[in-house]
Amino acid sequence: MSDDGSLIFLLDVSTDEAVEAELLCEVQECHINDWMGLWQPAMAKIRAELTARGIAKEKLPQSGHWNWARKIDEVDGLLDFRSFCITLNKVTQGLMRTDISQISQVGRIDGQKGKPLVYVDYLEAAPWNCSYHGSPVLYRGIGTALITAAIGLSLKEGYKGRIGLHSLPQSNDFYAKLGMTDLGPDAKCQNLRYFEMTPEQAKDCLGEE
Amino acid sequence: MKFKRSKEWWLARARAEADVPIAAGVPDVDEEDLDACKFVGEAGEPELVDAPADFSQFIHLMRRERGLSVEDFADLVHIDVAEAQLIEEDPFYSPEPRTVYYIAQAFNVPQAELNSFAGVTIANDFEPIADQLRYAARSESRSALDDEELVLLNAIVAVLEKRNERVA
Repeated sequence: MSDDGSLIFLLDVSTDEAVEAELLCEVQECHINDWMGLWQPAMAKIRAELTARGIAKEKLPQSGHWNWARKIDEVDGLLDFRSFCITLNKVTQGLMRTDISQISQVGRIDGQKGKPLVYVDYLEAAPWNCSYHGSPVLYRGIGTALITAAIGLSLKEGYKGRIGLHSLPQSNDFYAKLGMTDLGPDAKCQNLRYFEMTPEQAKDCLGEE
Repeated sequence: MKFKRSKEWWLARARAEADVPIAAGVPDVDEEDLDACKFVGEAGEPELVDAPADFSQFIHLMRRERGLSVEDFADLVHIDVAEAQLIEEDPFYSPEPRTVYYIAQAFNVPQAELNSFAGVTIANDFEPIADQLRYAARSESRSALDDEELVLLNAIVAVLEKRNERVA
């Protein structure tokens, strides 16, 4: 465990047991290398397999197109952006970039309008941790861990747990099940649904130990 | 920043996750490409064609615009029919540079930009899967483009040419 990492646990789907993983508050070069060398070929293989099975193009994975090298590089050194990643067995399992600037995104829910929040710019689990039309999943818990990190950052910044994000259509159920409020399609963001978490919802999501 | 929770806490939440792919964030659109893909609608308001288009979509549109069947296209760029269909149907498939060269020649578009558009840097590691594919030639795939498809194709070609001018 590195000095700046937190011990977390993911679910190994094949054994149904918990496995140790690490949540890091910075995406580094080694994680980008994993995205380039492991994620992209894995996603290409999944797409090829789904295409071979006759899955329609519009039902293929909707993520996988972000250039994480560029996403991380373009905010390097900017204090308003924080990146997170999850590793297990020294392999990157999930990536997230957040924006705390309040420049473009603030609270939208009634009672929270205009209030500061942590906006999740980009979040993605590794291709082998996502089920596409029945494809096997290796580890579960990546999304929850990254959202937990976003809430933690929000609390640290004094934003009381408020977070917001635009979900890809295939992921809407994930954020709804986490308890986030669905504010519907956002015409300014390619009609992706905007989800927001209030301080009360954040408290429920974190729960009591 | 440290996150301290018990193993049971993490496990309970992992088990409760919705069984869907997990991602968030607005899909990338290069700002300059966005400009090139915009057109003015009937009401005078700018509308966005279904952008960003991918290489497979470009090939599909360009082939039909030229009135070529999948077999014709495969012959033209010296590949087999299975690969021709893979190029059109799998946006993550990365053709060989040699194939991109022939496509650029056949469709008269800048080769360097087409090479970049095709994403030849992505590992092309699923040949065994491609070999297993059995494709049936689709007679409807030679049909003419409708107006919207034609606008999209022109927008893509404009992007390629614009990128080429930038490089030149």
